[in-house]
Amino acid sequence: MKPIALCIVGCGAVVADLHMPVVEILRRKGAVRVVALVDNQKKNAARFLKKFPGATVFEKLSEALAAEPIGLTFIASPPGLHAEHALAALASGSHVLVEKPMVTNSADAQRLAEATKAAGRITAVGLPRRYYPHVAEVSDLISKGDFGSNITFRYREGGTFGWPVASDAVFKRERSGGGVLMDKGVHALDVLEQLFGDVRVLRCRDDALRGGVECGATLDLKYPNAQGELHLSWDQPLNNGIWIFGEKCEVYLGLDVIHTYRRREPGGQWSVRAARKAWPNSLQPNGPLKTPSDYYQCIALQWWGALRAIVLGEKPAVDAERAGQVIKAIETAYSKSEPMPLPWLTAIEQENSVQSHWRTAA
Amino acid sequence: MAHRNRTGEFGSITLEDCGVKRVALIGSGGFVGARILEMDKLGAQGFHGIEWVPVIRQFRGLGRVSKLGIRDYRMGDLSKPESLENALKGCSAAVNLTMGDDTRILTDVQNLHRACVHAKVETLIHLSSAEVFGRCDTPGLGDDSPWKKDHWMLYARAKGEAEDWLRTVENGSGPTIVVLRPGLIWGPRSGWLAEPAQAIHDGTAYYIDGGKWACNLCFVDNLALSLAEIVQHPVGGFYNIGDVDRPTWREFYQELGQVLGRDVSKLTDFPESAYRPGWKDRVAGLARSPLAKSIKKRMQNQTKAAMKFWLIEKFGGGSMHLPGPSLSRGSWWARTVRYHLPIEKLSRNYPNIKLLTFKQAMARSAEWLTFSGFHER
Repeated sequence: MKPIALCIVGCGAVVADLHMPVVEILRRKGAVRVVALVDNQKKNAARFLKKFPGATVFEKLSEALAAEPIGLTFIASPPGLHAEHALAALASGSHVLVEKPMVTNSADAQRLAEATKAAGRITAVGLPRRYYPHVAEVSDLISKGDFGSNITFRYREGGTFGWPVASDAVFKRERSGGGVLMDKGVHALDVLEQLFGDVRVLRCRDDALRGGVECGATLDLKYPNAQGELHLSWDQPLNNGIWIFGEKCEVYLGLDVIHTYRRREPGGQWSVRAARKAWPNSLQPNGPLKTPSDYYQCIALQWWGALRAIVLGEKPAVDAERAGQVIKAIETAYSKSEPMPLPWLTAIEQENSVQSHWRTAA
Repeated sequence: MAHRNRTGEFGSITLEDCGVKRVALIGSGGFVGARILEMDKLGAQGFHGIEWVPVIRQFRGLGRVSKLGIRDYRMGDLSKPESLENALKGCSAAVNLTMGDDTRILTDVQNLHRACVHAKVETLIHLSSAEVFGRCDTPGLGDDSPWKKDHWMLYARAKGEAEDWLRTVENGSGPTIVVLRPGLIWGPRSGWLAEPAQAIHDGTAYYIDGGKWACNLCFVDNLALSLAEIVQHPVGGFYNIGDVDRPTWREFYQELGQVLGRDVSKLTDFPESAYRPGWKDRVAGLARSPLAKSIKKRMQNQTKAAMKFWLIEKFGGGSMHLPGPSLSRGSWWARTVRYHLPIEKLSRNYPNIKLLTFKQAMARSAEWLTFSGFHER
């Protein structure tokens, strides 16, 4: 098979830290050849030329698409530009792999889903937690009825924002679409969709003041057979993890260790279980499968998944339509958002945080 | 809501004319800085008359304060003196909250001091650390006692050296210098609450010698309120700073246990002798050495990521067992501190600082622990 011509759009921290080591492996295995590196700051793109000497650096995606046929466009530009870049790539006949969040509003999500269909191409979305073995395995358990009925859950994910972002765009609502909900929330809602199906947002509370984007948010969520709470933070640790409670058993899924989970029956002790779910990590139709044990390996499987969708016609783990559901849920959450209680603050601080909440104040 | 007077609102009248001090908060994206900005924005008492100017080194420093909608921040890097000129412009005081690179603590302080002199900043408040005294092996360590020169932590030695250098310039023509040495800065959102709470739940929490040694705590709001008072009425000098109450580790854990609804009376109890530095510490020490740090700094992110990827591919895997208590050098060290540091000098020179008691601070912390789900398992 001829290597797929790959164009990478946006050559910042995410690409350097998470994707380039994988792309290098894909190149060595003959699956891709990097032909174009696009970044409005050329030096960001040029730093990868040593690894991919056959590539050309461009400031604009349109220049790259005009220069030579592109088989796959990987979009890791700022989220506010994802829609524009993905639509341009599809229009040129390229398949698309786009980093999360796929886009920043549901209108763009719909446009992208429609454009994908019209072009007869693949739009795969970068949500590597789809390859967390423990999530996939527990999802199967839920489907098989292992939990019984009346499933409830709590999903908490908190920690200090640590991405070495190149600008303050991610902290401006007009550029990023929102704060932690648009960042960690996209992953979390996708995981919950994998576990429980289509979501309905019952309530959203966040801590953003006028002019800011939320560091923290809590969502009350309802699914066909489950309901629970999602709690996210950019500015503090939380008791992180996913707890799922059913009549027959409960499980705890950590967010760092992804190939084991804890399970206990009512009144019993916790035990550690191995998750053995595996995915293909080659382009061979019946090739070997791999159980990832780390986020990096999930990124690699995500790439293989996108390439297999192009070459073998398999369905990508998350397509534009599926990712659009998450964007729609976030949009609904923002439209309903109320001030988040911050009970550890002083009384006057609590009162002012309510008065200055971005939706109240606006 | 607290209202700050800004120059723009009063035409040609300056902030100083209105009795407002403009203070550069260097390292404002950290735990303490973010809390100060939050208290200020939300009108906490004790913050009137100060305009805090957030100074960050990298954009990610805005993550912790993104909810506040701060747009008028400044970029400044203590290792790049030229960047400090704009960061300090028009400020009458500068507060250095940066953690920084251990190998650069001294030069960073020197750079900051020079920039303060150049920008005519009147007061420089530098956050050192109680760690300079190590485990406080002798009672009655004063605010001006010599620091522990043979400390095993590079961080502590560097903080001590920075203090020594500041003493050489404190009587010069530059800014009034105030050095504060907090102990373990704790409170809502801090690791000193989250980690023990997690450990209690996981069954990995432990005491050393029954938890009888000193827990040198400094509640984050107590530090923030002290800084606000010091900015307003600076009295130069070197000060230990901490909470008024002096709990032991056992008392700290007992309070946490109550909040979490867990019995902590029967935690694993290690004797102090259970831990002795070994080869792992030597390896860790090498990894923290200036040479290793310099190599790491020069290495491209891409290379670091590729190495990490390779290591995971090669040695990936994980335990199939529930974890148990295990000692590390840092936690063993912190839990065997002999004495609480005296804080009388600070309260003598700053009688208006009103500190929250341990009970009050723990009540606020309990609210946070519950909100963050640490009471559940």
